[in-house]
Amino acid sequence: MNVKLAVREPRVASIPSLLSTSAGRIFLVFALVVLALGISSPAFFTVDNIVNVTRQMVFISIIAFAASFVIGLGGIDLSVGANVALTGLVMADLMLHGVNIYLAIAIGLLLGAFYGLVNGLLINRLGIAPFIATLATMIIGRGIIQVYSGGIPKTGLRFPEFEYWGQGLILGVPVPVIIMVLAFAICFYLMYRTKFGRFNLSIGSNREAARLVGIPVARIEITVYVLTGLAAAVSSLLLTSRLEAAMPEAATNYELDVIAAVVIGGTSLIGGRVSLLGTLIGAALMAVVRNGINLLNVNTFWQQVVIGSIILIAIAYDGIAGRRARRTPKTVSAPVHRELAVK
Amino acid sequence: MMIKKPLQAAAALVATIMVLSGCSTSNQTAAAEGAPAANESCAPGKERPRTGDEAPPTTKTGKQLKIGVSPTAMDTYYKRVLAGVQEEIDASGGESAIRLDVQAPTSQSATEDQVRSVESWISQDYDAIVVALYNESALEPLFQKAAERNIPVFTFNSPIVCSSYVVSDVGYDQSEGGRAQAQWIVDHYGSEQKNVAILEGLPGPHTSERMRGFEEIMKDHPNFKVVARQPAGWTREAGLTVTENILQAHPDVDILVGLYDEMALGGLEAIKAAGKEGKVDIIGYENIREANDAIKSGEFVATVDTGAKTVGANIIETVKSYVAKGKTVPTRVFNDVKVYDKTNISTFDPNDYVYVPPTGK
Repeated sequence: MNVKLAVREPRVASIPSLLSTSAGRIFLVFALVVLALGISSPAFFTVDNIVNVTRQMVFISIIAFAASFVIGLGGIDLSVGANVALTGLVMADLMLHGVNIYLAIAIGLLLGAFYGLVNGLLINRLGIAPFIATLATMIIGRGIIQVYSGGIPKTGLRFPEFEYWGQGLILGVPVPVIIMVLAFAICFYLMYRTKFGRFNLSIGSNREAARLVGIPVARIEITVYVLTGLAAAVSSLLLTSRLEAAMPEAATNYELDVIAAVVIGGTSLIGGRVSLLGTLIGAALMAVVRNGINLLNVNTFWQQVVIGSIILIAIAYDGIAGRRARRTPKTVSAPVHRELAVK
Repeated sequence: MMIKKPLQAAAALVATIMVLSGCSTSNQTAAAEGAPAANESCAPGKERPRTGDEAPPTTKTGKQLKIGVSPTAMDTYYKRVLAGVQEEIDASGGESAIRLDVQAPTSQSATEDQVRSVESWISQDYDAIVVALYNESALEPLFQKAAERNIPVFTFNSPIVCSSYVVSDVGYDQSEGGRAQAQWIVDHYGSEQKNVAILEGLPGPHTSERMRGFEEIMKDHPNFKVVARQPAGWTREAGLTVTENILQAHPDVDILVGLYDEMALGGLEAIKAAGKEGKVDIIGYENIREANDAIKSGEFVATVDTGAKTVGANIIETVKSYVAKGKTVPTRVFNDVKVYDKTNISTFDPNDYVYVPPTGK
């Protein structure tokens, strides 16, 4: 149980060292996209717009932080979009039936975590491949949503205690943004400062070895899916509160946006290598691109092409530059834990 | 060396963004007008001629008619259409006269689900098949098969119907909805200088038809400047985000037009959050219940009611005329659209949203 992994101390960042990590390389791409958009649209670098984009990235990034654990462990969760829509509808339904707002929120969060627990149990106890298990729970979840809602949105959630979560401000900062920062801090701490995070990465890099040295693989695997389910429910709370309505088709394709954010950030889909900072930048990159497309009034038919291309360019650049960096002898270290080194 | 190459890659990236954003804006109008018509006789807005390919009319009386109805999704709009369908069936003698089978695909774009439903109805020799089209060409072979087995096919809520196997297209003129929105704006603001932002649906015939009507009116009124038109995926979620972004680039927007109320309601949330409530007038489309409430509370200035329940009633009436009474019917059975604003919203009957069971039951 007492496994200790060596973690190097943070270094002072110079440009070459910045480029030696995925997060650094994606940050460079992000900075260039931001610069290009700032030059093309005068509305981009306004405080309002920055607050705006930050608020828009919240829903995806909160889930993506938790999903980084799942992906770091070599898993995947395709059911988060369905989870968001389902928990939103249930919360809304409870509130519309006069249930106490906080109780309704608590039940929603528990339901989200339970959704994740089901995923975790299917994967860990029944040994179903994560892709298949969460694909199935996604389809079932979307089906339950249709049966439960009849395709009709639940609207009119104008309760001040509820609206606050998605629309409130604390010292001028939107509440969802504060929750995102908190979620990031918690996940960062869990990932890099606790045994749970180290164990999680160890399982991702070599599951069998992790099991042999006594890491509680089952417990950790189930926990990360529960964590992701909970994150989906938090995202759902913020989204539903923001829209004052729960929509059956809400969060369509969230699972793909989440995976894109994590992967753009340099986290390996094979597991064992996670960059939470990268995930944050990945989510920001996608939000900034979508924002820029709206600001520049890019033609309808081109939008998807632009977004897809930028994802490809970002990842290809990270891949090429990453390989080059690995070939340079002086930056070579224990490959598995390189990402741990730079905070 | 490590810095040099990354910078080259970065330069290429910036260039790509510049090129993509620059050239695509200038292409905007050209691409948006391109709603391709499959053949000459089927241009948008023109009535389709009768070809004789469709199943012939019949006089099936004294037996229960089996009708299959396939909407593109089960949502607020189709619920309303189906309420109209059910009420008209009740008025025609109830279940003993007409048996209704409704099968909705699991998602808007799941055309394969629709194909399966229609196939099973054909093999069970239904008396009529009624389909809302998302993708016409995918269903064309099935329409042919149905016609060959003398099963008449009808469509509804389908912007451009070109298939010669379709007996009648029931619904309303989607471009008329766009014209109604634009006409309301012209009537209301006259020659004032106004900036207009438009939330479009996903690219496709619904969006292009509504926009065609809208532009037809607007081209004679250059005082209304369309500063932004962006797709918001028909949903409230996207309507919110896209409007937030549009307001950043164009804080001077005076009028927000949504090609569907859900997107316009998302826009309303964005406008409220930006503290511009009352400064941007919102015009929706469809008159869903919340849009109706929003007009009453002054949050929307207008919306277009497309007569969803009337469409439902017209479906059953048309099917009955053709299948039971042996009458020929027009290739288009369209009802009018109606604009509601604060002056006439009180005349709207809320029963129009729900299924009203026959009295005496």
